Amino acid sequence: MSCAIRTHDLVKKFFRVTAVRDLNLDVPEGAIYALVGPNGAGKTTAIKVLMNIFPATSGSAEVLGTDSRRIAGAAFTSIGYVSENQEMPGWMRIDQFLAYLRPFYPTWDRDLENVMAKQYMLPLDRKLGKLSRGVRMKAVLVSALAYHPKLIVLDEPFGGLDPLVRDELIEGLLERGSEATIFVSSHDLAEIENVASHVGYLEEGRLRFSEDMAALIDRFREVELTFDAAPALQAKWPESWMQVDAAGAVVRFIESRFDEERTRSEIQNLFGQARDTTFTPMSLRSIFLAMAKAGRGSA
Amino acid sequence: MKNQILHIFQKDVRHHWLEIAVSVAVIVAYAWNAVTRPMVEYAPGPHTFLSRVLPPLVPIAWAFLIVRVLQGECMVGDRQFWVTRPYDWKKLLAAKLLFVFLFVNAPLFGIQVFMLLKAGFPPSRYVIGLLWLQLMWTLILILPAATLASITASIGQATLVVLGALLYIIGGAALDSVMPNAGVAPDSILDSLQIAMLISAGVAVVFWQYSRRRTAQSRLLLLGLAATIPIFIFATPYQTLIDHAYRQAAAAQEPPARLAFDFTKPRSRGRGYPEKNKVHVRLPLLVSGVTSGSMVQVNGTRVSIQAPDGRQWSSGWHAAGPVLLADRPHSQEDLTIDQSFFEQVKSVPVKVHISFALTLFEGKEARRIVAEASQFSVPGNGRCWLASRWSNELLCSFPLRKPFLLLSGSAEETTCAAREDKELLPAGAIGYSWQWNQSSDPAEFGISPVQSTVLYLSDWGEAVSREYVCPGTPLTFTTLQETQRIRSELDIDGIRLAHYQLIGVEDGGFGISVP
Repeated sequence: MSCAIRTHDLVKKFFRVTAVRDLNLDVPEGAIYALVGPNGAGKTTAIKVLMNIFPATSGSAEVLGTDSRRIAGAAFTSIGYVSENQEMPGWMRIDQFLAYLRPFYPTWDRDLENVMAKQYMLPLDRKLGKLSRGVRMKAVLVSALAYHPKLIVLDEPFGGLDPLVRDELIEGLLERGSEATIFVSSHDLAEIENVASHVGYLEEGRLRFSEDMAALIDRFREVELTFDAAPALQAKWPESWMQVDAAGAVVRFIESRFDEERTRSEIQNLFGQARDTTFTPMSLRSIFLAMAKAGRGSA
Repeated sequence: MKNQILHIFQKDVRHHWLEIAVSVAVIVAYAWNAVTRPMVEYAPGPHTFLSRVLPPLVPIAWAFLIVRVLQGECMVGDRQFWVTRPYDWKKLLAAKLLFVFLFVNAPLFGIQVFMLLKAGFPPSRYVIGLLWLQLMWTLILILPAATLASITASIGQATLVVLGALLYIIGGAALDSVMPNAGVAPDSILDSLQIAMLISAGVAVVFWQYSRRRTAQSRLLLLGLAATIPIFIFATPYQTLIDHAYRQAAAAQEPPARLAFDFTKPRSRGRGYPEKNKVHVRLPLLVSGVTSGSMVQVNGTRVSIQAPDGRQWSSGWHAAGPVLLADRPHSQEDLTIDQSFFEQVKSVPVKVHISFALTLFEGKEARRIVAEASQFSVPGNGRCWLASRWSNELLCSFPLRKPFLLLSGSAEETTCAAREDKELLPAGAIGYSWQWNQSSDPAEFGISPVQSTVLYLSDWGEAVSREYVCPGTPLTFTTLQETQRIRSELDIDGIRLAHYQLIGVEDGGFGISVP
């Protein structure tokens, strides 16, 4: 499987602060990869290293087969980068901005630009500096998709947007970016839960996991055990169990490597026969929160 | 993209049209004011204000324009939209240079050609000088502004850096002024090295920023350079440079000027500038041996005083400036002595030793020119005409650079009629004036390529102005060149410093050339 993005032991330090630690990441071509993590986890820094905005302190990264240190100039004809904090030329009107960018891209699709501008109802005669955050993001997204990039990198693109605008953006992204690899960072899982094919979880600069979304959802379960009487609790639980909580005859925990047969067997070994056992699939948000809590607990 | 340079350039023109319009308006106003104002304004006129405001406003407008246009694609920060767009850094830099060339260099060249034409100097004869001025403006304004723009994110930041740089320059000048002997030492290889380092650092930072955008490293480089320059000031061997430049005259060698103490001159009655814990002393000197048509400058002096009880004081080398001419027998050495030492020795006879650092300028070519009622040609491709108000003033214009010349006129040859309100010129009196320019550069740095000056003929020492030049008066213009630097020594024995203490320092006194 070829990768649109691949990093190897990537480290980024700002003086004594390590923002990204030994990041090893593989983003398959065609994937919609969500890099999630709490604020300050290092997502934006990692993306900026990939885009050669920051130089890496050590390690290496490849983006579309090119060393990230060489990502510049013409390399950006294949990459669409959108960030919530980008400084735009506020003096330009949207139509001027799009017209200015057009000649930079040999593959600029004027029809696609028009279709998206209509779909997003962009006020083309308004200056970028006078636009609301949502409209500005739409304009930027049009400018990043109109040339059919092979890789679309979105850094917290939906932060602070109202749900309607967010859904519009996601819809447009999925429609127009179907031929591209999409790499999106977010601290809000609800934004990307339904669209991501792969997910990586970054915390304190470290990648805690990175995998196919379906596999991730598959391996996490909320487990609730009901006994006839309060069971005797163990000092040590299996490593894959998280947030074990007992309340009288009920024990709850999160299984992070769910396999029904193996999990039942472990429950049987630790507690004996439970009167009732339920395995509830978890949302990405719940998984994310469980991971975050586990991370803090271990720290 | 075939025309990325033009594409970015067009965007910049569209964005910065107002700044462009302002800078063009300022330079046009400058040119209009320069060609329409009288050379000398004896009373405030309509051009006085513009003449004061426009010369600094032109470079400020250009610097602002350069910083604004370069910061349009800001090098500082990690959020600029253009960083993740297919900009080719070489083409981006080329677009910015094209902008600066068309809206700074070209207007400068245009108005300089216009001003030369209006002054009657054919520009085609001065192309090298005009190109030299372009180079100077590029190094002195454009490169620093581009460097500043490439390490700052906004005009506010740039302004703060400029203020910091100004403070640094003031501090550097203050440091230089207190360094012993620095004021007299000639320029050395270290000065050239500093200039080369400044230019190299500016070019390196601009290229480094455009190619790699390494702002922290670029700023560190400039800060490192700023920290290095004071080291140069401390490391410069000023005494050695002076010793090397002004060698002791050999015993048999005739010095360009003979200096002796003037025992006959009465003590000074002038008024002085008060200075805490310092006393001003003026030692009268007799000058002889200066060849007619040449000029000797006292670049610096070093004075040591020894009292009978062995107490000593030395001034170290300090800059002087008197000019010694033929037929000018009097000069002086002004000293600033520590008050405590002065009080201890002022009434006893002391030995004074003075070393003079002298530069001899000899005539390269002398031309006698008769002053005309209208303008007349003078050496240096210039033109002069008589001032309407004073009969000892010549107003002169030169293309690109003023010549280094000595002007003299004799009382015997003046054609000015005697007037009741003017004192008659004493027989044998010679009025002198000179125009300094020791530089060999093809042009003097500035906006205007027409260099104007007022040559004021004076025989010194008299409070009244004298009439030397009228239509028909023959004048001698002697172009000068440096031919010798030498050190001369003078011992004065048994003088009492109290007799020469200045109550005051007189203002002016010598024949002056008004720049």
